[in-house]
Amino acid sequence: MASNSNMSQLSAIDGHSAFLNIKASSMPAPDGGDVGVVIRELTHQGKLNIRCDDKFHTQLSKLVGLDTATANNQFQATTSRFAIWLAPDETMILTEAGAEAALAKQISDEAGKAHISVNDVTDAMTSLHLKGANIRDMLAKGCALDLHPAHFTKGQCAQTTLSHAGVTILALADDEMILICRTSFTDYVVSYLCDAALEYGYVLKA
Amino acid sequence: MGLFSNKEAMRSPSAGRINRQKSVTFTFDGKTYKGFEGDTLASALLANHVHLVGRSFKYHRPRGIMASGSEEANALVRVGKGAYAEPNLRATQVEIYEGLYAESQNRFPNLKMDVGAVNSLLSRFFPAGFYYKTFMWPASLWMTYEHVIRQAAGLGRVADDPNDPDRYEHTHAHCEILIAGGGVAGLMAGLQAAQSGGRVIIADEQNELGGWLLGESDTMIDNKPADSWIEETIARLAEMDNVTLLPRTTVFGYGDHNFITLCERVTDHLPERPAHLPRQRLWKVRATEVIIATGAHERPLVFSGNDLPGVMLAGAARQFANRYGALAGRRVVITTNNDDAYRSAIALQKLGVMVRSIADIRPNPKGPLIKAVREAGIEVLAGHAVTTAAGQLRVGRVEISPVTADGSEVTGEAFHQDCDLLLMSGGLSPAVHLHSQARGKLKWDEANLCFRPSITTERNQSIGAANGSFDVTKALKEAGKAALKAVSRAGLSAEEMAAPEASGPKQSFATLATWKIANGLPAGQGDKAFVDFQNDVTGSDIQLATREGYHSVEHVKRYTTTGMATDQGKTSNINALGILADSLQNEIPKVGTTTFRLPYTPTSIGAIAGRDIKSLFDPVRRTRMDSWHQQAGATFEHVGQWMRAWYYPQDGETMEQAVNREVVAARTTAGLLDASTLGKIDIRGKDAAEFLNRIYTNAWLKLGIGRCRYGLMLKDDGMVMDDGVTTRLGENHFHMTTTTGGAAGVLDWLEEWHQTEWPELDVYMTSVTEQWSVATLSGPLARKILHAAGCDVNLSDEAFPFMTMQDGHVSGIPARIFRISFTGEHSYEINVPARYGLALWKSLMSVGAPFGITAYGTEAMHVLRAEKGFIIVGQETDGTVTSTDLGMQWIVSDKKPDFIGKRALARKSMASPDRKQLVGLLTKDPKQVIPEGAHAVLDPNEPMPMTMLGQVTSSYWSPNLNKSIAMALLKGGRDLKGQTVFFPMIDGQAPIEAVVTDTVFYDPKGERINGEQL
Repeated sequence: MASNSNMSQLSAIDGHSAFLNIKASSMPAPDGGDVGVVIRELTHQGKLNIRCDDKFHTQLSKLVGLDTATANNQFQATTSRFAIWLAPDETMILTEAGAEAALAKQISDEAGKAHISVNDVTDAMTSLHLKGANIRDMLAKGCALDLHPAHFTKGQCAQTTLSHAGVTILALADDEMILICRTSFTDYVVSYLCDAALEYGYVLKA
Repeated sequence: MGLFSNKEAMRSPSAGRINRQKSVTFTFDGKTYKGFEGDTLASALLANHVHLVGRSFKYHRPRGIMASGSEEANALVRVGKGAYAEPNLRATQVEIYEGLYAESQNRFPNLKMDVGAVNSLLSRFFPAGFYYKTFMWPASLWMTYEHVIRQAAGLGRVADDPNDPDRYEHTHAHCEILIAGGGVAGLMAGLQAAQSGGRVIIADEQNELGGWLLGESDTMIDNKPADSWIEETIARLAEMDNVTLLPRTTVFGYGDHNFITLCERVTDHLPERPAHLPRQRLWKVRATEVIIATGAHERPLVFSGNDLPGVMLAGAARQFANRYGALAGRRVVITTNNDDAYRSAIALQKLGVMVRSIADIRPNPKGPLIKAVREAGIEVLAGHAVTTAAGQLRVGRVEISPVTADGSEVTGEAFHQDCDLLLMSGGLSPAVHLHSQARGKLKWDEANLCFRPSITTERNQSIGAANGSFDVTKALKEAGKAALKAVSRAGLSAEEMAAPEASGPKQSFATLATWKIANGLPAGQGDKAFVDFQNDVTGSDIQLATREGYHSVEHVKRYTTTGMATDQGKTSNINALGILADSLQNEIPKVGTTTFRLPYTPTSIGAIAGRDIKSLFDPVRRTRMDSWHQQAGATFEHVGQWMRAWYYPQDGETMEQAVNREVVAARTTAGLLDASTLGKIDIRGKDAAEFLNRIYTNAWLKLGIGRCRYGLMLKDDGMVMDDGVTTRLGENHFHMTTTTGGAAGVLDWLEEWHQTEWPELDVYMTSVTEQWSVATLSGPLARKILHAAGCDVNLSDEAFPFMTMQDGHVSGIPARIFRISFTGEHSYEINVPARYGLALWKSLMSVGAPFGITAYGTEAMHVLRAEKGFIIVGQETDGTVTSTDLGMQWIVSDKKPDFIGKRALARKSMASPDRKQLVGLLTKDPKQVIPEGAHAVLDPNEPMPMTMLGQVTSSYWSPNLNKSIAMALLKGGRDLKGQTVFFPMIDGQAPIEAVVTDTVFYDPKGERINGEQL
């Protein structure tokens, strides 16, 4: 299995993220001040899609290192790991880059014969980190949800659309979010975000 | 035209809110004028003596400025040049800026000399329904007629360059209370609502908030001039974080569940538009509560010549004077059926305008305003109306006659007065458009002669003039109350504010019903009296329509086109209804109203499109190997949102040459295909096999671990939905593949059946499409290349037979290798974590080079599979094709208790011999390739309509067979095998002859699957 492979032997091989063809760009803030938005990729951030019932969360929480039994549309986080509610029986775990394979194996081993499903979707998804005073204004141009800081608060997540792309967004703070999209939508999402951020000024790191 | 002199100043020296320190130069119809910052194009033109601003739609009559706001029906102009030009803007809404360029419309060669005006002379021959009556026969000529009519009629010209260079954006917003209209009622409601802390948006179409009272000099609020109160209130609102003030923003649409659309004109008023800002921004607002404070529109009176330039709504002239200091005339006559016009008389007189007389149709007008006017020395002619306005390109003289109380008959001798401005006032119509768009009902107010909002179906309230509460104090009280109600219904609370008292002239809003004013001549004689100015509909047109049997308001609307212009009858609807009701001898409420639809005012397509243009129109998905394909010069094709390499032309190859080369290579050496886009679904659980057994038509319970199986999915109606190879990775673990386009739909389908029908099954599905990059290596040298790439799996047929899977490494990359084939050749689908996709591809191309490896695209893939007779879902199927139609009964289990589609397949009609069945075709001339989609007939000489057998689904040149091959769905096709069918050609060429055959053209025994070139 791919996930069991010896990673060290792979270090010589050119593994690339969906940012391969994305070039850094920026637009100064029209008022000459700080740019309203800074976008960067959380390159190869580990992502596990887990489907299980409530009972398994006790074990899962221990392995992940945080309470994975989150309430609807909420996430839990430590400095490097996130447990994101996706559906009543579906959770996404974000981990440090490179830690996903080992964690997936631990979870599978722990589950034994229990009815769960663990899938490494690290490469299937792209994580973007959004920071700045205008990230919510930028997202509001393409997202129909109420993103006001009093309504989409720290700790909340949502699976929604950004214009024509399905995205999952996590509110880390009023001015900080993680946005996850399917990898093949990365070019579109990044173009959309930069375009929407034009009036606030932005920096896209690549 | 000696009556007015261009030397007379038409700008009051002090009145108005314009910035006299800032002179603005603009161009109208090639002539340069000066106005002030704060002017609209209309006010600036009036201040420059320009009244003639356009020609009418049908009769090309000279038209001027009738109103002061968005209800303007006549003064439509084209603003901007070249690609930036925008037609049909109301001059009353266009703010002037330095360098503004505007043109009048609908005239040729120029405004004063218009050849189309001949229509006016022929107007007796253009009655209501003229087009319907005249151009109906012969029907075949309508296309010709329409072309000519569109040249002659129609509104302005669109931009010369179809590529709109402006930027438009959308944004979503949410608020507890949205207030449509920022007049004093809207502002008061906003201030009260904002005390709750809830989010409040106040949007107003004008350049500044304040509404109608910005143009009243006679009204005090809280003992302050109204404009001072407005400025203070705006300042208070602007300081509140929870309030968003949106001037220049039209609330144009009211959708379900308080989904409200606004169009903000962000930079339209700026001479230089900053590149980082959109020209216009479309707001999609979801509001918990809506307050409609959209004001009211004054109605014209319907009398002969009421459309001449210089004939204006009385309130509009007052607005132009008080708000912009622009005087529309110096010698004024007024005709009215209500009190409001008297305020205009007083306001204009105060600014030095001579008001000659007020012809008031009411027999005995009374009240403080009438008294004040008389005391000011203005003659009041009770029981009189202006019965005709006359003049060349502008009113110069009016005929005044004594009339009956409904204006319908002249009762005595007419006399004339000279004037350069005629003001008319026919009462106020609340702007109920948004209320009505929200499916609210209307009720008739008999005293004020207007429709007012009644039952609402959405969470909204109408206040102020929009609710028929024209009195300012009443409107302000209503505003506060409505705001508190909205706050409470939104689950918030706010302390009640004291409603400010307004003071001003004591005015009655009672209006006399005077729908069509007589002109003292027999019916149909004298000048036209317009109801709908923009569509050139007259009072006589409506009367004619009723005589011709059109009694329903909806029919009359369509027959006469009244209310159907871009202004949607803002000034004409009630007059039209009044005339209709009179003609039918019925009452207005019984005649009913037509439906109001969005947009409230015309909205640019650019704003509606927003950023959904060009590269952002739709996402383009590319695989991880894409950069190699691009460098290799591949031509791409869209497959759903994916861009797939179609073929790789080399050294000036044509598509045909490239595809032939790729197809041959895959059968002689090896081909490599990027198959990453195929859908992949991970399926787990102890009931996974049982689940698949129900989803697919064939048997899955006994599939061995590591084994692959092809599966066909039917919809519950028995029609083929998707197909693909699914592999058992473990006892309770499967890897399903789907078509590229079907991936998302299949996952939904699986979840739906699991969640709604079989929740008892323990099974989980997860999309892993993009986790894997897939390279398909196919051809007699495939095994050798894989071996050369350092594959650490035993590749012998014994250890790794066809239709099995192995984990291992290829070029050092962890890989899941499926030995399956869509070409019929010895073939491997190599799946690697997506990040290594490009590395895998490059490595295989490099390692395979000495073996003659050839990248092939989707076109070659199509040919290769067609040579083998493999179907493509969506090409051989279209949602009406069953597994039986495809001749794939071999994959449909008759032993399973059930699977999706089983019952449908069992229906007798499904076995009907005349269903279209999939067959192969070989053309008589092997070089001839039948066009896909061509229809088959048995007898090419049959007269039309011919008996159609069905259509070609796939058709290619097969370089491996050196002949043309095709598949088709033909009625009773399997029984036609060996027979000749014909394909008549649309271009008149001789029909193509073909023999019906089996669908497998190449290697029918399947010997090449283990084949290997030594």
